[in-house]
Amino acid sequence: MRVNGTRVLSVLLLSLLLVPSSSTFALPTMIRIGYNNCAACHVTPQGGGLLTPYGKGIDTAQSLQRREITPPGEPRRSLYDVRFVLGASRMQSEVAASSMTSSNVRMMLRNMVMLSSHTAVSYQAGMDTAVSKKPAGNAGTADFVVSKALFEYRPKEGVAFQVGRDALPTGLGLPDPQTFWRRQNDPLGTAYPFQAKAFFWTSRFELAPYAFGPGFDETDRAARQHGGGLVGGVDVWKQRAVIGMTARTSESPAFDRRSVGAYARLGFGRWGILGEHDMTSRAGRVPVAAPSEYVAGFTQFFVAPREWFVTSLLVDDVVTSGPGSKHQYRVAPSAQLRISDNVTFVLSTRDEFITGLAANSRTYSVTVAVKSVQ
Amino acid sequence: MNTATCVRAAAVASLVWSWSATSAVAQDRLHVAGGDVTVVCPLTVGGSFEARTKALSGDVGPAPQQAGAIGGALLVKLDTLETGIGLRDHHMRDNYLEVGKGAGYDVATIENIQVDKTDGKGTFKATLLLHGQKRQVAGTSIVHRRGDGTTHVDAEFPLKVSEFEIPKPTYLGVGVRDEIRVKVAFNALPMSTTASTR
Repeated sequence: MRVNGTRVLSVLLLSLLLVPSSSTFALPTMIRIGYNNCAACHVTPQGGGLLTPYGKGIDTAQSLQRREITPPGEPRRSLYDVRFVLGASRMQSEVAASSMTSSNVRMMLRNMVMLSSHTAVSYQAGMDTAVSKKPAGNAGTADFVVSKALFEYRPKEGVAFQVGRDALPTGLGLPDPQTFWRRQNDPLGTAYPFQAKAFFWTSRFELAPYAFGPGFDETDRAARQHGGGLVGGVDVWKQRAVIGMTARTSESPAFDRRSVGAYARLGFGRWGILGEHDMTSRAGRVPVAAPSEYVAGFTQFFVAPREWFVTSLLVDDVVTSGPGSKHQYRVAPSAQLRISDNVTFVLSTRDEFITGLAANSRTYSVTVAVKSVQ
Repeated sequence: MNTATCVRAAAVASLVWSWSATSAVAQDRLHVAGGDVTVVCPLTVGGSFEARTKALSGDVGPAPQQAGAIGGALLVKLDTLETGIGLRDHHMRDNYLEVGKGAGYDVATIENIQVDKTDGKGTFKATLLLHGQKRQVAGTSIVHRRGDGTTHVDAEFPLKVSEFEIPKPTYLGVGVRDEIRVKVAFNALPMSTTASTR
């Protein structure tokens, strides 16, 4: 499953630079037209990844070249797609030596197989390649990554149990801010721990308790954590305003972490706001080490002038107190253009500011996502 | 007084009488001066979407013979309903509401309105013509009379899609639940006011 832990981490960090607007590929923004949870369009209630036939229909309907999807004669036992994400970016840093031009290619197979009417397995795996060019020289990585491998039991609509490897549940389900936060408060940890989780949802409520262990691709054994958490939210206004809370506790051989947060998904027709904020305390098991506190926040204001064209302003920041205290934040205007059900473009700039001696930077990026449609 | 003068006087008197009579009726009747219709459609997998239009028109006013009865009708042009997804609008209008069939299908009509209160919060019953079918509906209303003569009405009622012989709306395995909710909000002005400002 893991080819090289250091490489995986470096790809994660590099891809963070290359695809600053990956969050615009995930669509909690659909709450603007009444989709207050992910289960309507995605095969797993956590959202992201493979789409259900209905989700594909909505995806197609919201593209520039919209078309009718012909329903299959009978439900398919296996759903899959192949996705390529091509990114190119130019980062200009205040320190010229840190400026770089980068490109990356991700190829991913996403598949879900129904084992019975109540059980399914799903996985998401592929190659991540990245090349960067800096004044000091060029660098490249190529890694095989399994970002999802799950067994699911869904006894009835609105209830699902899952076991396997995946990203942990969050209030918004957006990978980009989670990666940014993790880079600050858990740099050696994994994005895809093994876990057991449950989802309960109705039109008014959502609840996801979970327990997790190491992903075994952590770069340091001391970063292997186990713990548990909870994501819970309630729709407070016409299935267009969900607010909720998150909590997580974990421990590793080196430290204990405690997090509590809040999130909101608000949609008002053509526009909306997504927000998730989190406070994390990390205390080392070595008594002499002072604990660190992190306050992280993500806010996305989005407007959809057309169904296929969504513009966003994303702001996220992490304030660190304790050893190595700093304030790091990013501002990223972006535009997502869904040309067809196969092709999506994302154009973005991102300014990153760090207090103290670290250099600020600006990144310009273009991302093209191409996927097959079954 | 010669004959011509008598005829002229009679004509003037007749005009004054008929104008005042019309005016009295017109002052009781209200003309819809702008409104919103929102149809909340819950999905079978959770969540919902709303179909909206501002194409609401009509004249309403007290029916003389029956207490609580409101004469006239409210009309909603169904080909203007929008849900936020163009393809879904097309399906809704053409496959389910079948607006292309013309009279009785392209416009929803609310008539024979019976209210228990003409001011404040109350309940109402009415006949809804939709998809060529006439059915009784019942719901709640709030009528607010403003100082400038405007009357604002908020009304809401549930309806079952199947009762109007509308095919069960589904797309790729996800459907709209049978019971949907209709919300109507509008401002109405006395007919005399709207007539003079037209």
